[in-house]
Amino acid sequence: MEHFTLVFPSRPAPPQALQAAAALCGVVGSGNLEVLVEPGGASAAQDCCQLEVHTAAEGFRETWQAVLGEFCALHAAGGLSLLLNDVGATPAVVALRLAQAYEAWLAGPAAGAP
Amino acid sequence: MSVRHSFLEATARQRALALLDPGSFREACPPQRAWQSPHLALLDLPQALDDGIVTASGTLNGHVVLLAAQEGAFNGGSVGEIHGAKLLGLLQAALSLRPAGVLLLIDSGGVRLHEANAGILAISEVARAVLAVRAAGIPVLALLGGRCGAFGGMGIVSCLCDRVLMSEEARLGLSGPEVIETVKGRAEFDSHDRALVWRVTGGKTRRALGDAHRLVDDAMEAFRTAAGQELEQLRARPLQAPDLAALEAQQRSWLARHQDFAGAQDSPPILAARLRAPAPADWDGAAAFENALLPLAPAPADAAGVPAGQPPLQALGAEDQAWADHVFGCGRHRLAAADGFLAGSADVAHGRVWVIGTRGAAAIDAALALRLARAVLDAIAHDRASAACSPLLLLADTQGQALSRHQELLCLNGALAHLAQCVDLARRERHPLLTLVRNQAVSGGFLSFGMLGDLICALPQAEIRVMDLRAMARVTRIPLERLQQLALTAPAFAPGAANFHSLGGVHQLWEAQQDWPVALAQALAGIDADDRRAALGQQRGGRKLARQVADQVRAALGA
Amino acid sequence: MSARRSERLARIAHLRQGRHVQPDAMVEVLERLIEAGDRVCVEGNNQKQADWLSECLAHTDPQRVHGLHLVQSVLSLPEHLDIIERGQVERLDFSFSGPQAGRLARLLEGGQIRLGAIHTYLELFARYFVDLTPRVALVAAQLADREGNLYTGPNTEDTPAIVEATAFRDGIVIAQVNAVVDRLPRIDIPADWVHVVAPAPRPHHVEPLFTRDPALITEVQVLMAMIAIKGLYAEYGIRRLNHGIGFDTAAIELLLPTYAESLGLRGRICTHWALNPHPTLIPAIEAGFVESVHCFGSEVGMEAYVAARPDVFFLGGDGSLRSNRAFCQAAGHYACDLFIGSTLQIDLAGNSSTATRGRITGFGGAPNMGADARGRRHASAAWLRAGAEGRAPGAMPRGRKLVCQIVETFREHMQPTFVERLDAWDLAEAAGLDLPPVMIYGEDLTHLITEEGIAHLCRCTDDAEREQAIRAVAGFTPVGLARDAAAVASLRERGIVQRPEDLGIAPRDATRDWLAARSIKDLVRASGGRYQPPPQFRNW
Repeated sequence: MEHFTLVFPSRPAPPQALQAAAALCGVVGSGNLEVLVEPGGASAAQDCCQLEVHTAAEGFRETWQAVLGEFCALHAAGGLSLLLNDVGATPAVVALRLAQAYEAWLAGPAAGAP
Repeated sequence: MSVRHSFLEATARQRALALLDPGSFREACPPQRAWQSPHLALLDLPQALDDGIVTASGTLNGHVVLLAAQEGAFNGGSVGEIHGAKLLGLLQAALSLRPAGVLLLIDSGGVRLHEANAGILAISEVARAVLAVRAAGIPVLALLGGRCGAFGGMGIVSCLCDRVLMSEEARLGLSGPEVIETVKGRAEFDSHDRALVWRVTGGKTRRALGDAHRLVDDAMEAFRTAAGQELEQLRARPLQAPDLAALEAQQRSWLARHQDFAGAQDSPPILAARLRAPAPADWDGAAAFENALLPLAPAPADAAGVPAGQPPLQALGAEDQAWADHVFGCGRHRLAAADGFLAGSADVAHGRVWVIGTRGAAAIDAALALRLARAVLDAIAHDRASAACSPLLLLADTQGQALSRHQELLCLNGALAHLAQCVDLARRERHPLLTLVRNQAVSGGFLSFGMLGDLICALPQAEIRVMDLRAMARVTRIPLERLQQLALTAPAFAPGAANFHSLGGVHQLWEAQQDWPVALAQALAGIDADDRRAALGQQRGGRKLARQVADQVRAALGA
Repeated sequence: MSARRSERLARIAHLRQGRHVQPDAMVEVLERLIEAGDRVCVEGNNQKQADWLSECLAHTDPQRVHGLHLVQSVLSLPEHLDIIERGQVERLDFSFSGPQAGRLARLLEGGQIRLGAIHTYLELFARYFVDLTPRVALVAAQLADREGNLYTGPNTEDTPAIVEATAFRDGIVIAQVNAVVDRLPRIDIPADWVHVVAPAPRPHHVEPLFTRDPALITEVQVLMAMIAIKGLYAEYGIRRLNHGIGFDTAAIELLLPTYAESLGLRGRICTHWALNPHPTLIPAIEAGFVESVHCFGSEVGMEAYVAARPDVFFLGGDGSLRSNRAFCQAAGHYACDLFIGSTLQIDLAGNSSTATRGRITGFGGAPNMGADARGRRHASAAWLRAGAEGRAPGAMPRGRKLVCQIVETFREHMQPTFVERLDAWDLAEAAGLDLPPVMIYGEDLTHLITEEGIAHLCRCTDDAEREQAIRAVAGFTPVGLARDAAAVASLRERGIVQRPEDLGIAPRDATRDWLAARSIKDLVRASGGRYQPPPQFRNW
């Protein structure tokens, strides 16, 4: 396992959504991952997103940097804290789950999660 | 074209959402760091923010229900300390909230090997809680439609529920085909022959045998509809907790199954029989067969011995005799044995106890399970007639469940669940239940019998385990040396009675130099029929989380 | 100078009754018929195998049977390599080795055998008629009659090509059959071309290689299938095509009745196929997408379904499929406008290979299918359009076959699909091959699809642009991360690279709900209960 936390600049998340509770997408299964999105977190800054990664695939730090950096650049995730439990998902799956979790969080708890 | 939402493919969370009325899903203890398994962290393995189970309340067709959904993709839906405690908390909440039903969306291979001791204990607590919820008149439904099916302890728990709703794609059994193939060889059970695997444990066979009450299409909506209909029927005609007559009937039907399909290795004869007229409920041949199967049925007789007309059990061998003398005192027991089975009665300070159990590290198959069940039912019937309520002394000495394709085909887990229900009836009839772990007590064999005791005492030679470290190293691919090192300080997975003691799964550890008849009398005096093992584990420090998590889930559900 | 056929057959006269021999005499028959130095073909491909005859050959006395030159499509049975290890084989010309790839690589590196060449199927068949004609061919059929006529049934496959070459050049054809009957359902090989027939103790093996369980198709594969349908099939109006055997293309097949239908593409794409009877094609056939399918071989369990669709498949008078690998390969090469398949590695020039270190797997038919047919002269709209793209104004008009690789940027265990250098180079060096085993050459590749989008390589004007287009869809692999952002932006503006959103596809809409069948059971339902999947694919 490899554990690390990364922080990337990101546009501030919509303020009304910051009231929403956490949202979860995905499952911790082979080739898959779960992503938890919550407001706040250690960074707390409105223009940064913090991502805590726990991954079973060792030695792909640079790939994570690229995938998570792109997510933060494309989405208004400032002020959010994300937790990822990964069992060797490919970047394509990681990017998909991040987008799904983010959208589920924006939609609020009633929307449910994939 | 219309889109069918597969239940099989869905995640636990998706299943929970789809089962409940739209907008009614309220998750108790939503995913967060606190629910991650510290035992997996210790082994440096991936954790999940819900430990692989969703617990929630909601409504189904407007009626309040509680629901748990296991995530088969996370470690095979396996039950660890937190996972099991969440399930336990939900069932405990049902007792005070009295919902219209409890829906268990089971998708699990059973105990999580990485925290096997905590896991099997949790399943044992869940099994007792399911029976308690049913006894309180609240229906419990098992919904099986996931990839992992319901195996191991969760296979037993499924069969303890009021109703089992199952898709053809789901499986229900005790030992997985891979395990049987590994131990007994490919000729016994070829785990790569998928069609065979499903014929032996799949939904269609389970429905044909009656272990599943409904076959459901693999679609969310089909499961939702079926669950709603079942609850509707159960509201109209509530089920009673099974009494002696009901369990006698159940015993007969299990005996009939094993007579009808003796030696069956595959499903065609079962499916063919199903297509013919169903057997009458009051099947005459059952009693005759019961005698044939159990020529040495224990004599739940009075102090004098066996009732007339029943062949006596064989006298104990020298080793058993010496052991019984040690436990009860010379001349204070009337026990007899046959192969793996041992039964009779003994005198203790307060009077008589029924002694029922296994010996010689018996592998528990359906015949042995039914024989144990027979003895329990006989003890209950006998005491009823004489207005007594003698304790039942459950002797545990088992290498685990029998591993065979035939046993799986006929749903060994169902037979074990039947045995558990008989023991639970004794508890409900206020028989104190005391378990003595004599030698080996391994996995399913222990779970369905010895672990149901109110008070569990381990004798010095007791070896309690789910899996030894070598096998665990092979399955988990964690080096043996590392497991041995961790085992020194991690009671959650390492074999041994002392570890079960610290987890609260064993109440007392007896020592060789103790006066056992005195210890026995004292233990019987201190029996408490409530399941307080989680609290005990917390108090002893071996299971720090189970009780607390169960309490939190209960509180979150408003119970 | 080796003996003539008539002389050789005279040696087994006492063992033959007509063309038939007893199965327990087969080893002796082979020992008497085969001479040192003979070219021998044991029939087998990625589907059916003359497995019993192969075992018999492996039981022959090396003192009597040796110095052989194997000329056969596939070396995938352990017995094929046993006879090499026992020193009975001197030289080898083949196509594909599949499960024996590692063992074969060791034998070659250890110098235990000389390699002629690794061929494609069509090349090897062609050489049977030029310089690699078998002296003895060991083939498999379902049934024989008393005369020795053969019924190959749905799995005709390579048999006609092998038998034709052998029988008409004084060679000997030996057939194993599952049973001998009085009357055949139809005659696939006339007795006149066959010299020895024996019933095998068990039916010949057929591998269900083309069965893909829809349950294993991922969301990412659905996304790529959507990109392929909208960005490639619809764009070029592709009607005649061949698919590889992967899950990526299975996803495309399963999206035809749903996604493609929703785009109004029925009748406009995917009407004519050179393809085995893929179970995953059933929903598209039932939805009326498909007009015809010609097959290389059959597929286990598809017999009854195929027989029920004479309007689509090529059937014999008995109602069962007639497949023919050689003809179907020719059809795939010359008559299809598109080949699409998957691979393990792609380099910066677009060369792709499934070779990995220490394994010599060889080729099947993909290199023929996945190559521009330079000899093609008939036009179609798709072929003309692909040819016009990237061609200098005023140049001689010419069409081009569309060749597409569809891959995820990472394979399992996070192995990047995109690499600077193919493993094929190392393999060629280690085994002393003349050429690195490249499946599809970059110069033939017109399109590349990944979950990141589609690269229209045939629209690039030079190699530098091509390389950037490849990097553009290489995602987060090191090759992808080294892309020139400005160059990629320009390629996107010019429509040479299209990301999913450029095609109006949202990745989160790419769910398994689009699959017309989500399980093998769904395929059975779609077939009206006619498809009978083999046991290993059933979970009921």
